[in-house]
Amino acid sequence: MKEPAEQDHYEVLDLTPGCSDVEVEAAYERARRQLGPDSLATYALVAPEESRLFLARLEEAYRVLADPEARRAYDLARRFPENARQPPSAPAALPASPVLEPRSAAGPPAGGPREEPTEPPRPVRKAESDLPADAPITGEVLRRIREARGLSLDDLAGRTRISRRYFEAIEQERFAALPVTVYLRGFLISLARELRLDPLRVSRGYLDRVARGSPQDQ
Amino acid sequence: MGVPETGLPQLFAQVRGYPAARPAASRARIVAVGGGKGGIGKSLVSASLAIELARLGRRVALVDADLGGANLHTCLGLPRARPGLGDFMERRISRLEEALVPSAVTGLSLVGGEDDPLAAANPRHQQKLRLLRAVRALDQDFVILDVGAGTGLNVLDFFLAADDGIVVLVPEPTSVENGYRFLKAAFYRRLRAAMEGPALAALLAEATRQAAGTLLGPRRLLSAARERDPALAEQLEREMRGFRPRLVVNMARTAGDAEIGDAVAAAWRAYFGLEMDYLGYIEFDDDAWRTVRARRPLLVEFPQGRTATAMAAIAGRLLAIERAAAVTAIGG
Repeated sequence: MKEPAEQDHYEVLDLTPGCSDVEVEAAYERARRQLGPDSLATYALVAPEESRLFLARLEEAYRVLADPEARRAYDLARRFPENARQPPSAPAALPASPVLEPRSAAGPPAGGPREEPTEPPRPVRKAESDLPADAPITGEVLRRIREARGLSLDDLAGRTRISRRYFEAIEQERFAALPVTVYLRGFLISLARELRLDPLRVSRGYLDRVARGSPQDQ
Repeated sequence: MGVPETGLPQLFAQVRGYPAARPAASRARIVAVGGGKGGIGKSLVSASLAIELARLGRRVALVDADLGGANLHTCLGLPRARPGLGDFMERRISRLEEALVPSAVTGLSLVGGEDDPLAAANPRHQQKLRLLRAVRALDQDFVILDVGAGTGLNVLDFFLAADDGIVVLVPEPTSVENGYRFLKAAFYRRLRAAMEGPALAALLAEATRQAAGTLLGPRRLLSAARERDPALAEQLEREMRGFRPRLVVNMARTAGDAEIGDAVAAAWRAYFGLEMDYLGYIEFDDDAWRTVRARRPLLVEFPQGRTATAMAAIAGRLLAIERAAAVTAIGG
């Protein structure tokens, strides 16, 4: 038994690794219907923040598993975790964490030779008008975008029901004040949604930064 | 309150032979019916399930353990009879069998509840223990316990002492909310009972503090335990696996309502990491209140009705679980 954040994408969707695309779609549809905020079955079960974290994991799992190319890479990383533990910045590395979105706005997919996807790739949904494709995800950048959007920290806290102090710590890159990765990822995804940024790019970029340890933290 | 926590492991141990499992076939299987909220049809579900099991040829005792809210005799169309459960608890009778009243359904008898809410609504620990032992010792195939509404300690203890704890929900937010509250309360009561000692207490306290006063989900509790005490974590995981309530959805009116049972089991699993067996749903049945008003058992009055059909499916799933448990007990 694992925390939702420790579960892999298959476990989150209650699937087995060999399952078909049709099963992925059906599992996602079912999970949205049964476990989403509008389901009577989740009424008063957990705190809204908990539910948001879980649903973010669900979306992430679906995005990877419904995309043949991403799923192939993910399966590879699952089978050979030792390869995946290389630094995330290395070109051929596959992140060990379930965050893996080769077609994120960060550029062409990293990784070695791979077959052409059998399906046309899904379009990237989130526009990023204020964030150049090569910009690093730093606390400072996130703060500037937030201010450009006219949002205060309190606005963010109110909209996401995540404590303001976490957003503050994210922007100021006080990593010691941040929760463990699994929750931080959820916070970053929520933050990115509010800022209309690509959640995966933001979470991956920022978590990389945390993993390396930035100068501000020394 | 009133009930010493220290007696709990002994209570469950003596009642269900825990942790050493006894062969399931040699004693009555106890099925408790609860669900937190009042007015959701717990009594009707209890009575209907009892009738259905009796029809299948099982010997069934229906016990009105809704202390202070007894009304099963009405659901069965029986007059209030003495002696009842209260008489046993107050030792006016020495054996619970003396309180068994046969019903119109072959194989089904009733132990009526207690009328006087003050006398029996808050049994002392020893009384509760004696009652649960007597229930376990009844020469029956099934004992159905209607534990009544609420999340009081007695309700929880009766629920937890059963082999099958059935939670009844109706597809309404209030019922779902109370149902989850009931399940969470039962789960933590079970944990405290099974895992006495400072280690769990410290873990729970620490976990609660971290979660800023909110109840920490079992998954997180387990993660926290793994970090500090692998042995405790192992025990915790065992208890989590052992807590496996059953679910019945009552008064379903739409196709969406029928789906709510699967959704609740899925949500319980996804968010809490705990399993739940969904037994089935009962459609809203106009005949239900009509027959209660006429004080006639619904399943006797309408043996082919919607509730009867639903109850047959629910009883079938319960029996399948029982068979699976028996196989596990023998095999393990």
